[in-house]
Amino acid sequence: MQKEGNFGYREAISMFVIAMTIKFFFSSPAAASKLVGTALWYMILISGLTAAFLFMFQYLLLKRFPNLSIMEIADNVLGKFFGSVLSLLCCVFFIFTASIDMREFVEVMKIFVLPESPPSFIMIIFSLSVVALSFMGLETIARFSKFIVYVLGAGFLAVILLSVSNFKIYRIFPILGYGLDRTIFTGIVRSSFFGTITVIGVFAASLHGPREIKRIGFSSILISGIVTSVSALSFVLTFPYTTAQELLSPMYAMASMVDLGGFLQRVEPIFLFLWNFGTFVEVTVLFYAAVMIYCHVFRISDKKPVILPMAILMYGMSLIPRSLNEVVNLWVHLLRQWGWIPYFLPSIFLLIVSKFRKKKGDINNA
Amino acid sequence: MRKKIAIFLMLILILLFFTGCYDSKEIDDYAYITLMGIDKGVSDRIRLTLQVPEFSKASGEGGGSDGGQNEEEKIDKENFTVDATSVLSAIANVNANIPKILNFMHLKAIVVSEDMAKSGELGEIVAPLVRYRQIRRNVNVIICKGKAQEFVKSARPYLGGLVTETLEDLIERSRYTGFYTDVSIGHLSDEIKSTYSQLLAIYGAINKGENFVEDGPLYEGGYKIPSDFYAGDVPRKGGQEIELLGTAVFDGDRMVGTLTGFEAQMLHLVWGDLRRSVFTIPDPEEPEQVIPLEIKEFEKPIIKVDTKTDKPHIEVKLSMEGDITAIPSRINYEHYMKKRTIEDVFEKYLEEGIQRTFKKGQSLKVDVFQFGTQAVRNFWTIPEWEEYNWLEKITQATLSVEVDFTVRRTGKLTESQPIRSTEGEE
Repeated sequence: MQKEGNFGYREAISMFVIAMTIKFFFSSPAAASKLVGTALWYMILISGLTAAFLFMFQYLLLKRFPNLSIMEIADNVLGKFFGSVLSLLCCVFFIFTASIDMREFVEVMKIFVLPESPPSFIMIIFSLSVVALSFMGLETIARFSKFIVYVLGAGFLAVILLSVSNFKIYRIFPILGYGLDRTIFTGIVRSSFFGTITVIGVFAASLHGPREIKRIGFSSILISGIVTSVSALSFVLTFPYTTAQELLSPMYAMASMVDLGGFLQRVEPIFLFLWNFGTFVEVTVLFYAAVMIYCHVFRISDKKPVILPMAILMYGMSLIPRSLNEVVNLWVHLLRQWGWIPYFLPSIFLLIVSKFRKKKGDINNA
Repeated sequence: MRKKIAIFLMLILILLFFTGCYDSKEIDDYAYITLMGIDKGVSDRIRLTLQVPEFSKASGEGGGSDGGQNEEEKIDKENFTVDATSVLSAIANVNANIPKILNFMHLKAIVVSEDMAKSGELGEIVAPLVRYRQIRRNVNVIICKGKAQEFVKSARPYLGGLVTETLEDLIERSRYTGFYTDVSIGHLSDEIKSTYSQLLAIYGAINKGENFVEDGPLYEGGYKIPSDFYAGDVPRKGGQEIELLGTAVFDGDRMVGTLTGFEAQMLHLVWGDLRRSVFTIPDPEEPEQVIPLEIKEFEKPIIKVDTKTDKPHIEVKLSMEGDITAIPSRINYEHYMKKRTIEDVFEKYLEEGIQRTFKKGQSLKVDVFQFGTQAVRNFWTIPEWEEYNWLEKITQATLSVEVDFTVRRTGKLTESQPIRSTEGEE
């Protein structure tokens, strides 16, 4: 059993909420807006509901095998070999997602803030920070998230409230966007937006049993859904749907448009703070989950020697896309459109197989 | 040994914090552009004029006259004009010839010449500037009569201060006067692609006082609607050379016409964002006299758009209140029985003004009142809305306007006594 540190549900919720919501601050809203137009804000709620529904299967699986991580459950249900294969696939997916998210962050940073810095330089600094936090372990990551979530929350609220003067109600119309059917379908498919919650399965052993996992999982999806939907609503109210599809980072654009009476303007540094720390937590969570899976598969008890090579791997992977367009239009699009398969299907698959093979965890562990 | 390795690693890490020193740039390495003018070019596609005021004094005074320095020379030094293929290539050309790096972070306004705006190149030359990192979405856009180059050169700080401050204050004035519509480059980029509305921009010109007739026969032409002018046509002398008045009207990215200051006021009244303004109406009983009224909105305008047929019908209801600020004829309009006369005249005055502006918009094939932002509420989906094609339907639309105006106060006087002289009472 891979138990790491001791932290409560508040820390865990903070960690997952940051990891899920931060994606909305990059190119995701523009891409989603292209598909659903003015219906973006409630499409996200549909995604959240779908993610909560799909997460329920993971919860049922973790309840069936109390206090075991998803990798241990995979070994138990599929046997060591096939369990390891499934775990490794998840590990590759997590590290790949982390690298793409890091690259997206770096590219956006380069466009808005650091145009003269080489991307590799920003990525190295970023990766080193991820390495440093990962060395401290899961408990530190969770506690850091709880510490930073209040600051990020305040910054987020400030950006939204200061943008109210740019809101125009008519921009929310036509209320059904490109059609309700399209909105529901896109909402279901893009449930992968909340897919990071499935990392909870990797950290399961460090949490206090299935009841707390249920609480953390559903609360995180609910909070993230509300925060993201509010962001989407403010974004829809600020930009006409024709423009919304063009913007690289609509939330940053919103922050840069704040101008209250001429004396309160140029508040985008608040947003930079959200960006940096939010992405840092998100990438670290995915990265650490990948490290944990890898260490489990190869039975490595000390993670520290693995962290640096894994970070180099993440850095290397993040260099694969040749341009920002490739990151946004190909990789991020693929992750949002098909990400629900690697995020949610392994748990559903394991649950079905465990039921079929009548495998169950030790109830005494509960 | 461990301690030594730790110190060594720390020293290496510290180096990372000094990376900024490698290619650091001080604030005065940059030349901050405050105004940019875009004209059609002569030796290349565009003619770009950049104003870079000299921020020399600690008090923040910049761009104004500086003691012994020759004013003409200073203006020439602060304004670069260059012909180039694109804005960025023009900037590169200028950068090659000055010892500082041009920076747009403090750009206040982009001035586009009317010729350029009418050629339909706004979408190709101006709108793409939103992509450029240093140009903020809230940089204002001004369409100017004549050359943008001259307009930029004429933009000087008024009574000290900074040129940016002067421009900011001038543009801010529209909230109180309603004489033009404030637009930023972000809005420009949004509006030229919008399905709800079309672009309206500030209209400006240089007014050097040519319209001001110093001597001649005294005016006897009767009542004239105040501010029913375009920028540059106001009969005035002195003050700022640049003048903002009226609104440039666009269909897509092509300028198709202009609205006068009065017509722009009608827009603001219907949009419900004119906080307080002064209107002058002819005296109902002595038409050669006028009555100035200070008005403000009593309730938000109610706008209903019926899109059930191909010929949309628009209903506008305005509710205003105001004060009489002067009665030169001294007729007792203060009396509650007579007050209604003024109210009726003013209601009719606004109704006619709005209808006139609407019809002018229709003749230009532009929804100047942006009724599309209301019409869109009648549609459930974007495909339905886009198929209806509001921007085309507006040309067939009908408008009915209802204005409810109440005179609340009559200033510090409750009535006017006649003037008495040896000839008796007047």
